Amino acid sequence: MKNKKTPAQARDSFRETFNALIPPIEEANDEEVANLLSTYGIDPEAITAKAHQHLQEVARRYSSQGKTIPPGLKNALRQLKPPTVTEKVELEASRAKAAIRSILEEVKEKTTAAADRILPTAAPQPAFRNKKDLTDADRKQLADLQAELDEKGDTTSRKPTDSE
Amino acid sequence: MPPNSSDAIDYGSLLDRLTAHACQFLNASRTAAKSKVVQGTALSPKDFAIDLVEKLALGEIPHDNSQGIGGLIRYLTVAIEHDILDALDRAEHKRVDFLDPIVVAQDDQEGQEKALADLGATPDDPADWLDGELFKSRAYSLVEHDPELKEMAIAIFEVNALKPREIAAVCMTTTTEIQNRKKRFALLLQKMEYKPKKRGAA
Repeated sequence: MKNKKTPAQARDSFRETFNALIPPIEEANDEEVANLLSTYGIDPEAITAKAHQHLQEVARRYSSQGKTIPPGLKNALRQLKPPTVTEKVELEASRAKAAIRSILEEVKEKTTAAADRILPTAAPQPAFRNKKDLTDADRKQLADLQAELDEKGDTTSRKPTDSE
Repeated sequence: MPPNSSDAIDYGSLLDRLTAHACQFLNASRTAAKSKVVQGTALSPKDFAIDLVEKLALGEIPHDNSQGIGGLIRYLTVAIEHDILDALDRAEHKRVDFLDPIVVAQDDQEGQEKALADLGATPDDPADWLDGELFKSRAYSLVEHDPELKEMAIAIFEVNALKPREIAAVCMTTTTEIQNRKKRFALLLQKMEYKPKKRGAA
């Protein structure tokens, strides 16, 4: 007969199994945590607001009893304080700016990549049309260019022979 | 990014993580996923998380940062799991579970005596659930169409491999792959809703 676990053993066993099946929450990144909350239909802002309200009540109790509010509680209240309307607007504006900047950067990256593919690599070309006094180096460069063009002309104007 | 071990406490992030963990644990702990609370106590995942954060802020939970924020979150997730199990064990919850209106309405047809006779011996008894068999069968039904997750579930439930390295060894894969499978299982877990069994069912 199978031995039934004691309640404590059953609890521990259940917890161990559960934790073996799911990833540890401390290793999740912020986005994964947000997604998890969202799939369970929980708004993170609502958690913060509820926690702040609750901690405010605790702080009020301390004050009414003439006790000093613990520094941890003060810190938590400061961190969880819901943003004011102005802060919310600023936050939304900065989020919108960041989103627009990200879109523009993406467009810029894509157009640069497309231009690189389409346009040939630009290289400086010498021009002698308006130059009066040619130096030896200029003449040599022109001669080389002429030779190159002649060579190209020969290749393109050469007619195929019968054997070809 | 996961919280850095040298960071000071970020209460907002801590609340989010504890709430997310509580949601998953509560869901796996057989409670009604639709109501999102421990029935009869009205305690939601948020309440469990806020309660722990309050204790931490008041210094009732010792935290010397020796284990970093990761260590603190690990400690608090264990605490929240115990809090949820305690709530499930509370009389109010058991009473509501027993007085499930649908079940009572069904039992009314056969007489109230039968429902009373079933008290404490139902297949949905928390102890039975936590004993693992019901959770195991639900977990297997969730992963039946995913061979990799099924393999992981077998390693956990049948071989009792609980640490990622042990599970990876049984599945002959890497711990990173096991972490990815766990994430997939966590997504499936949301679909696992508690359906009270009809009293008197075999």
